[in-house]
Amino acid sequence: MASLDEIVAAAARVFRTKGYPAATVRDIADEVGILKGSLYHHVESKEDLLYLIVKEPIARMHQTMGEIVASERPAAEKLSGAA
Amino acid sequence: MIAHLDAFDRHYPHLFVYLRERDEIKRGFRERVKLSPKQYERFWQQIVREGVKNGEFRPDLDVQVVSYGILGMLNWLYKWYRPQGRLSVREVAEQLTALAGVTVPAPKRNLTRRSGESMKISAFHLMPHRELPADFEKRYESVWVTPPWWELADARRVGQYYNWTLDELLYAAKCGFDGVCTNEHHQNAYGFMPNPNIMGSVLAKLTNDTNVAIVQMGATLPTSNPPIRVAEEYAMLDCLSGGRLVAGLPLGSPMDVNLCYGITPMEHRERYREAFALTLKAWQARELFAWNGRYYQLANVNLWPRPIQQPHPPVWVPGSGSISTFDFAVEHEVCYCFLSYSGAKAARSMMDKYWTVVTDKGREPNPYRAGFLQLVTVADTDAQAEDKYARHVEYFYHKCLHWPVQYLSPPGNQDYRSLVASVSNPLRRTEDLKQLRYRDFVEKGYVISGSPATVRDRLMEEVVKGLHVGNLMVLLQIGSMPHELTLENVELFARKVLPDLRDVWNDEGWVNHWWPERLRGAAARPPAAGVGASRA
Repeated sequence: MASLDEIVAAAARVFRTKGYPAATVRDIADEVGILKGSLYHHVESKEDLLYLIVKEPIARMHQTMGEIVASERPAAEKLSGAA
Repeated sequence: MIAHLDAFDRHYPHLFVYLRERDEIKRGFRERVKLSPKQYERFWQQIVREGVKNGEFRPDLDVQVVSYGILGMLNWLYKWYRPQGRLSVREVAEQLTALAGVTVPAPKRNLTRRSGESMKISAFHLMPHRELPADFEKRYESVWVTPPWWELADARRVGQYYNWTLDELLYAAKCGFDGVCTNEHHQNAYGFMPNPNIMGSVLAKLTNDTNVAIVQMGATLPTSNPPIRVAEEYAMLDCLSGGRLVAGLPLGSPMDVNLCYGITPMEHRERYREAFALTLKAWQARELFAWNGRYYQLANVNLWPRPIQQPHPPVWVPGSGSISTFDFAVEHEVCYCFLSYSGAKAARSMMDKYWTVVTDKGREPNPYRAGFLQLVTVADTDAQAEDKYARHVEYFYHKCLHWPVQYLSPPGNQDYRSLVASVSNPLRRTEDLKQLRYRDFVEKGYVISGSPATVRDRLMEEVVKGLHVGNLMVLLQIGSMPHELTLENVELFARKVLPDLRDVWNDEGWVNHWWPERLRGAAARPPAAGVGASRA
């Protein structure tokens, strides 16, 4: 049985190649190699998958930017984002 | 900008999906992600405002227009940016920062392309039994799985071997190698560090004042249960070494995993892949998570500690030529390492296949995507090399690699594609090693041996350029080679061979994404003066 992580990774690949609007839940199920019905066992909708894909990267990006902006470094360094 | 680009790089293609589909994504969805694009815009505005206010940026800038412009430039990246490309994240960010042109003009800088990075050359050690009886291969069935400890070894003597091994690797670190490598094997006399991380922790602690990477080649995921044990130990090593860990994640040999540790051969690869995904997630997840996999079920994964290197240390995957591992390595953006004892000549067609997979999958042929292990012995002249090393080389191939061929492929261990490939195009050696002598091993390239010039030329021609390798590992303690002779080999290699190899890829401008970031720019270190006199 495919894990949720495998499904999310497959969805990211499908969205990337086909585009989110054109991609169907069936495409994603095919990419993982499971039936469409089995996929609904993990998620309710295509949007759910998008949410799972971007949730963590976006949260982390915001957090990092927040830290950089709040730091004491010169603005030029903040802009280039040198760690 | 680096932070923004870095996020792209690490979460490719996830963030691209988001950016491309932003307008399609409903308002409700944004609320669900709990992040407002407005907030993100405000971050950039704040930076520009600050810069203008304190005189770093041009005074005539309109904060809103400029920050929207910068953000637009960054969000367009999904159209053209590809991870692991010609320039590093930092270099792309530098170019974009220059384009933004917000800073007050500074004295002209040299903007020509920076030269690439030096090749990384690491000393590898197996930690073998150095004193097997002369008739070992006649008396015993195998060096692996079944050799009787009570007849062949003595714990006090083995303690000496472990100490020599550590001293030899520390000496290599001192002589100017870029990394030191240890590895995991079980129930054998050919290389017995059942937990390489015990060795790695000693090496990490004692090299803390150097720029040497701790290359664990590595702890075997399918033999660790639960496999997050490896993630934890590696994170410990990364903390202990100040971020100098290279995390090797091998599948493990059939002998170790199937025959000694009882993992069903059919499950070996699947377990590995699940454990690999779990390891990467355990290093990176910001929140506690549950793992409900086929082989591993953990209700609460919340690793302590996490590695210094974020989002995770560079990952190397050692393999022995399975094509399914090529695909895996490329798809997961790891460095594929061929740990070979048969030399570059035998590896050529296989490594060519790897590079075909790399380019077929749309990646650039960055030599740092590949690692290779080569056996090397150096002396002042070719004749002296034969004199000093011949019997140790023969000991290695005749005794240390003495195992029944069926051990290598218990039914089910190879997946179908690899099985078909290896049956239709056998790359594995078919020759009987026991019939070969030192000169055969040297001639056929199993071992590169001779004067510094001979060794340098052959390594450069056959291994580095021939296989297109950026991360070179050399095995300098071979079989029965005694401690003193090993130190000699290490010292001579470091002084007379290594400096001539180092810069081979510099002109091509590749970035070694598979090396600890803080060590990447580290200048080549010529061996310290007088190092020969003060051995470890």
